[in-house]
Amino acid sequence: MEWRIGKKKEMSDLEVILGLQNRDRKTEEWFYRSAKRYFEEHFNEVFFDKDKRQEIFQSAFLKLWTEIDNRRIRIGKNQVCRQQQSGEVLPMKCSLTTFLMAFARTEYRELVRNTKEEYYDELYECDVDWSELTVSSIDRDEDDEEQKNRVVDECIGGLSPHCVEILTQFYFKGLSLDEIMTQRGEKNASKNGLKTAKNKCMNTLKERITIGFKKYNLII
Amino acid sequence: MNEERYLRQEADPLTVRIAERLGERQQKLDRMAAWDQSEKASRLRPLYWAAPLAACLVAVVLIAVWVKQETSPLDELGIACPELTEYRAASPELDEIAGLLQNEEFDQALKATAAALGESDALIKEYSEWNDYLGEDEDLVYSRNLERTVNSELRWTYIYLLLKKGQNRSAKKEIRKYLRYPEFCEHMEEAEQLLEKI
Repeated sequence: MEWRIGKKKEMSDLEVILGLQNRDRKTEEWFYRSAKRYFEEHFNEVFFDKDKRQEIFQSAFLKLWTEIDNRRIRIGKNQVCRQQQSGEVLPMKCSLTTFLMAFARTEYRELVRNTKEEYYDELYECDVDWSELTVSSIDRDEDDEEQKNRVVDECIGGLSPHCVEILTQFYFKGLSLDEIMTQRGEKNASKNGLKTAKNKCMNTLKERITIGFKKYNLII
Repeated sequence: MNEERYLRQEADPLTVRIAERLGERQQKLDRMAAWDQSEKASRLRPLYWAAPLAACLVAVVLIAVWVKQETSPLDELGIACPELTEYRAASPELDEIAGLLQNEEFDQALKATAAALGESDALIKEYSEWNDYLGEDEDLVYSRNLERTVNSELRWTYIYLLLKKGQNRSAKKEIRKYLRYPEFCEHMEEAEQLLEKI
């Protein structure tokens, strides 16, 4: 699948993946704009309103970008591959756009049901030629660090937006609880309430990560 | 006040990893927001110069229309206000009109001139009918010609006042009537210039 702007050929999926994994800024921006255009042209489901649509696209794109960045989606033997939940790395016949739309549909369903789905192997329901699959166990050349990052990313993606926001403010932006309270306004009535929420979110996240690590025989 | 904050050096490896991945995620979101912003800005950019340009064009057109309206053909051709001095003694109406013109009471002058002109036209028509009935009578011819002279000057005054009030279309009609009797037209050249101008 080649990303196109209009009828002009631009970048192939392989080029996009390589560019993103090399942190090439131009590829990142180009990929984002192309994906957005594609999404707006092809997403036919009923959305609540334009804001939700944007939210869905952002979540789906972020997920796709993260999977490429942490090499869950990667290039193997000159083709696009993806690591399954089982750990197997399988070449995919699906294009990146198919992934994007699949992620978007998942986001949409989650919004409707207000639940978080944790498994995305349904993406393998797209066109996969099983006869050509190179089935293998966990890729032993894979860096454990990358695998750990993948697990953490996936678990973060499974948290509620509320939790992600609090944890990001505290652990990435380095804000104090008072500063977070000021930023969030009335969302948490008291500092203790915020502290409890932060701790609960972090504990849930760590539990899920621990389970994920065990699954892949990873050491914390 | 001892505020609780995340300190990397004091955190366990898992927490550090979580913080890093949260950071990666946030940085991606920030970049996506920046791209959306720049796309919005590039869509609006044409408006930044197009809107003022459109406003300038509209202003220029409005000014041009206003200037055109403000500039009377009378001013452009340097046509002076009729004084009717030679005719003031002819009738009280003409004296009244001359006084109004002198005082620049142009609205009143226009009404009075229209009324006087109407009477003059009626009188000339009467003279013509008598002429048809009685034949060429010297006195009658003299009276008619005299009236035609007054009529012509009255019409010229009427034309002037119509143009003063911006009633160019009506003025054009009157100019054509005026020029029908060139032998009585004291302001023929000006009338022809006005006809071209309007």
